[in-house]
Amino acid sequence: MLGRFRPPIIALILVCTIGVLGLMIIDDYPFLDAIYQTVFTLTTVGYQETHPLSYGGKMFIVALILGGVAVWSYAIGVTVSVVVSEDLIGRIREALMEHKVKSYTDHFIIVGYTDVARQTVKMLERQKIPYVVLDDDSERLKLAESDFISEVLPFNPFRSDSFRRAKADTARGIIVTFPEDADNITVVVTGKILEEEYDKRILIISVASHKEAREKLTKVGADVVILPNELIGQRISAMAIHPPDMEQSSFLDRVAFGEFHGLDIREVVVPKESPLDGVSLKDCGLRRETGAHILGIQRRRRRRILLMPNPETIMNAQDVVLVMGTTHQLKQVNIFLEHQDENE
Amino acid sequence: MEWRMVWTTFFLLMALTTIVSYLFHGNGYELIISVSMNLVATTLKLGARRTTGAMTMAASLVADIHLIPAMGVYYIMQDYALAHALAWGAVVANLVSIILLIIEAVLRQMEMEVL
Repeated sequence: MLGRFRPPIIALILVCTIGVLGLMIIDDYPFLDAIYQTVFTLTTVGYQETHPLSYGGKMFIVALILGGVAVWSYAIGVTVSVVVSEDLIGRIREALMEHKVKSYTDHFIIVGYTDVARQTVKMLERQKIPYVVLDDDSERLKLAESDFISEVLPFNPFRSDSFRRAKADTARGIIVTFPEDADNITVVVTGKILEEEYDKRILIISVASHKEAREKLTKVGADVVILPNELIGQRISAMAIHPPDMEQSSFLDRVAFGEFHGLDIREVVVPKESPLDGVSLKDCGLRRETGAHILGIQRRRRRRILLMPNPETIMNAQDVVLVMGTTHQLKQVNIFLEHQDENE
Repeated sequence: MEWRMVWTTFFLLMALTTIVSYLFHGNGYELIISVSMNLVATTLKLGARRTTGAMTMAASLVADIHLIPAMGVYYIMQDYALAHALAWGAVVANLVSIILLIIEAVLRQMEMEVL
């Protein structure tokens, strides 16, 4: 972009030099007066000449004024062209966004502003979870603009550098929802490369169009692969088996999908030597200290979840505990575990 | 043909030869022309991405910083000896620029041959 301003700058330098030299040679102007006269002639300010001009000098000034007007017109033309064709305002906005993203931590990188991503962004906004959308498709960028999504970096989502600029080193995860499986695989592989590069775990969530694609995405390193059709089918069948009435309005369903404000279910892995390790539900004090409820326990390396466990059930390190509570209570759970760790 | 390279070399050489000419003859007009040529050469090197290009621009800026005061010293203070000395400084800076430009040209040629 800077390169396009070079020709008008060079033209201005040359015209100024010709003006100064011309006035000094033709009418014996002193150096400073020649500069003064040239500058106010070229800028068309129109002050009176500092020394009387000969006929030759007057003709030279006429040529200088015409040259000056031509150079300014050229410079204005280049500036307008840069602003319009190179989308200068867009670039400034992009630079400001990139600067803003630099302060992001624990955010999600949403790759591709697809229909699925639109819903994901809505949910993240509700939960006040920071995110940044990475997409360079003009149609989808227009869609993001119409949705008033400002956290957009218009970079190529298949290049590692774009992820670096989206602060993948401090990100919590990458979410990719392209309709094409090949695109999703490319992004997942990029995410895995960055994971190795930064030596940190990045949660990679992807969608897949069919089961085989899910297997491939899992093999290349996606942590969670969702089949949208399967999910819709499951939800419809759940609705069919337990039709929601107007009063309850599928309460649990909404909680499970995180649509309920202030109430959520989270999985917590029991840390080694934490107050939950080797302690029964009734003795751990989690409910007393935080108010959150333990709904289920998934034993280490087991797929089955033990729902509504007995108060005597003992939890062990690496078990996954399903905790339900308000947003505040779930934050307290983290503090409870950290605090207890410190006491240890 | 790479026109930007052509014009950069042209203006840098013009600046150098005009300063040398000023040093031998001592005409103020030559000093003005050399300042102008050097400013154009610096502008042409603006936004250089390669290290050698950035170094050439830096050397060219050094020459500007010598030549512009030399012009002021010549016409306002009329201290011709000081103007002369500053012009020598600009000659050295411009010689460095030319050497860097040659290195850049050779490197580019080698890259093209590899490709």
